[in-house]
Amino acid sequence: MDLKQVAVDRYGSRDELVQRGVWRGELYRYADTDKGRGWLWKALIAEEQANNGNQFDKRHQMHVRRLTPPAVPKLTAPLEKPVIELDLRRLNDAELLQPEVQKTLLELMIRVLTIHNWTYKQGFHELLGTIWLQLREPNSTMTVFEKMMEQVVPIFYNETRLAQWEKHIFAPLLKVCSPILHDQLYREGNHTNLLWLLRWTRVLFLRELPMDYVLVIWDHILTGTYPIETLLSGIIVVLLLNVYGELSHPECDDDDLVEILLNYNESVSSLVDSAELCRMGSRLVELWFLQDVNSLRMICNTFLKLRFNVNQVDNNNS
Amino acid sequence: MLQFKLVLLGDSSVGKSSIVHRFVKDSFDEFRESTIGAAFLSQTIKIEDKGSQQEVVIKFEIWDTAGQERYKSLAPMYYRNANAALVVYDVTQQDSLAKAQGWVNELKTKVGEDDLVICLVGNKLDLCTEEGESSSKPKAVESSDAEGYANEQGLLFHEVSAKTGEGVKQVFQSIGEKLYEFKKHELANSKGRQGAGGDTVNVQLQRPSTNDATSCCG
Repeated sequence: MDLKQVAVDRYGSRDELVQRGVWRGELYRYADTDKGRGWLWKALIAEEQANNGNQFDKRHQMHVRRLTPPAVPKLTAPLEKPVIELDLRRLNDAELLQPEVQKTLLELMIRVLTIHNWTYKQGFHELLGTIWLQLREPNSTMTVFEKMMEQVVPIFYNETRLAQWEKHIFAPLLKVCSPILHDQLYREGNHTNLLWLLRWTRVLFLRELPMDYVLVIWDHILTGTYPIETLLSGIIVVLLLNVYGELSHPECDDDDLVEILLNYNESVSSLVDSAELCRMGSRLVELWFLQDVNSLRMICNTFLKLRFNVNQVDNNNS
Repeated sequence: MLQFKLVLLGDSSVGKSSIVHRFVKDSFDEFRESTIGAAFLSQTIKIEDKGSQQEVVIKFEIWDTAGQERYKSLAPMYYRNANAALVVYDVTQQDSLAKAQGWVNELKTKVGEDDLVICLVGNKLDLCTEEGESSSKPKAVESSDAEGYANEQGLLFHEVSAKTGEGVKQVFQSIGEKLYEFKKHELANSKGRQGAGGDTVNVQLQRPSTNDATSCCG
């Protein structure tokens, strides 16, 4: 069954679909996750906009105001237009290379850049192309793209903010969850971890994980109530735990670490289920907000024990 | 085995990733996605020590970087501690060589090491070799101009086609030989320090931030 059928059959409201279907992962147990995602995103986001009187109301109204035509300024082609055209021509899907689709994607990109006064950076085009392939229709593609980019651009496409995120959110969370991996990745003299974090975050795992897997993560980003910078930190920590053996190997040096992480899809032998990844990532986020260090550590230790029969020795006890 | 860090720099879409894939995987994709940030691959080659006639294995750790102008601020993160740089331009794009020259200047001013091997590489040679073909493009950068510039700056110079593979192996071979030539003496010292424990020496020659020219990785 596709996502639409399962969603219609099992959930009476958008909130139920979001809370139980997406965040508890029920939807992915019953549905073929590579079918019906366009419908799912339209339902989740369009209905969010149309819904009154629920917890998303305020956010929704802000979102609608931003997208409503009177606010749209006169569109002028940004200076980056040739680069955008070039990048769009390099998207890795035959459908996206069709002239009509290319034209639409270019228009959508310029529209979004103009409205938000963003400067184009490589990576925008891959997110847009992937969203188009789920929806194949300009209006909803633009809505979903904007919703995604409003979260991603200010943090992950800004070098200063990206570095701050790594220093103040990601690294401290990793240190609590796995002091061993933290010490391994933050050894003195190591390459900066921004080398791989930059790509992981900017294209939201498109280069590291299989597409159907990535789209489940994107369902969570699009419906999440957690700040994306914290949610992604939680997800990345789980993905690192997933290659704990490789990363913590005594002979794994600085270059090996970067090689593993820039070729994650080849390095990982057994990937945790995508819904489980998001559930655990979000649990880490909740506990991080509560500053429940013991539970954070315990969850990660249990994960390693159950999946790899590894005991994470905690020397620091911090 | 000797390990060297090599970084690819150059404008967007000049074929940096295609050169790497031709070298590492001996393959070519007509449509290659843009590089986001950087990619990391490794490949080994063998060169001959001219003195001893012995074969030396060199491992290149290759950092393939994104060419978009806006990533430029991140470039030092990738070329830090590099032993060699491939600065790539597109022989069919007139302004491409000038942009490559910009990268060479940046490397020379920011890295500033005399023994950093820089190789200027003109790619997409295949596009201008078939005269009269509808797909052929005029060669917009003359070999003599690029080669003259390379000689002036003390760079290695090659023209290649990642698509056909023409010249690609030679690029890495010549870089390997030059690096080996530079590092031979350091290696001899390193061997001496390690004693006569074995026949092979496994040395990483990435520039450490401590300025210690060689370091051992066991």
